[in-house]
Amino acid sequence: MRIHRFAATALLCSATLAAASCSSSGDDGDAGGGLEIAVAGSDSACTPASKELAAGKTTFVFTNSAKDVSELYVYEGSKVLGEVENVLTGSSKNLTVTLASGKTYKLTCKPGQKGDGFSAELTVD
Amino acid sequence: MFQTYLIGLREGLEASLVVGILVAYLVKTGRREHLPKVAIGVGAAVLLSATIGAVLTFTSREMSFTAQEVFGGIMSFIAVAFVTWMIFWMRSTSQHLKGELQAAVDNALAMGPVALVAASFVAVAREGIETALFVWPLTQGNSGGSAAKLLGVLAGLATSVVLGYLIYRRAIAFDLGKFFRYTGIGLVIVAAGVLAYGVHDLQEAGWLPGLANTAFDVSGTIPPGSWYGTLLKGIFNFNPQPTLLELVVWWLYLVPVMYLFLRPQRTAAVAEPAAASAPRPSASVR
Repeated sequence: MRIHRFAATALLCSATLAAASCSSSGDDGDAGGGLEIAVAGSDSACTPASKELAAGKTTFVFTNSAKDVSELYVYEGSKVLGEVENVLTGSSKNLTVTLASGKTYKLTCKPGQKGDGFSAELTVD
Repeated sequence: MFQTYLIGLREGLEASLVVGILVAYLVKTGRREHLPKVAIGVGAAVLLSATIGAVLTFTSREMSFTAQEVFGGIMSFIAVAFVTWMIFWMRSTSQHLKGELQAAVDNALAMGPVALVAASFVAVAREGIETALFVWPLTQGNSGGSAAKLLGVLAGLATSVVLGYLIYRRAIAFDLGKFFRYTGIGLVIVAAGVLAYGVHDLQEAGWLPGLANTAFDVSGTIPPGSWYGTLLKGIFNFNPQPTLLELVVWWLYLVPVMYLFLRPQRTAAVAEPAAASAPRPSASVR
């Protein structure tokens, strides 16, 4: 009986959570808003079109030319601000984050999802 | 196409494994009538994942990253709770199988159905949304080779289901004692991996500290993109670059749970014959 109730609560909780995270996606709005910055990820480098960015909503258009599946991370200190996984060779994915002025961020491409990957520092005016 | 194949395989493996063992348990203990409940759980999870994935893909909305990670992390914790419950539920009902304590079996099953649906639902939904978010854009077919990539990921998912089926076949071939022992040990390791994965998600979201504090890095020798890295990741949630906190949590779960699982198995076998003549031992087990 105890387990019965636990199961019901857990189910309800996961359903509520799904709803909550979906509604928060509404607040975030369209992926297309804000500035677009191209990021080229190869087997040996991670190159954003610009390293000095304006504050606000920014969409990184990440194109993976490495021979392995890659990932793109935006770090704010030790916290991950945003991440796209499973970017196939020769394809692109968008990652939209909101950058705050006066801060520095780290952009990391991880071809083959291994090691430390390749990083670039971003500064925001 | 091979890249998407491995991604599909990885995302599908763990769910296939857990559902395969759940089904094996029901078949093994002669409770096939409960199989539809597992099907309902799996079906609901697939439907929910596909729907959320489609909505997010086709309306170009994005789940905020923190929401995604927190959702993933909490789903992982719920999954661990269910798998842990499943392990001990299987063990406790197995104690009564050989005896004539039919009432005890019925009692255990009375709380089973809802949990059965929930366990299979959580096992599939955990990776389901991520998979759906990967699959749906491929169906739009705006870039070259999308069809081949889509075929790859579907073939990967299909392979994981086949592997789940093979594990099910292998599992039901064991005698009852070995069946509970092996599936239980396997599930404890799977659950420890899921827990560590959930911790990593919450670290990425900034809800838990220590993301930069990596315990070790063997991603050079076991790349996640390789077939063996994929299998290890898919089955045990093996992370070749775990944080210290992930590693600590993995051990903190694994050791006591494995101990608790393996220990009563012995006493139960001894208590079983005694239970028929005197009710006291079975009461002390509860």
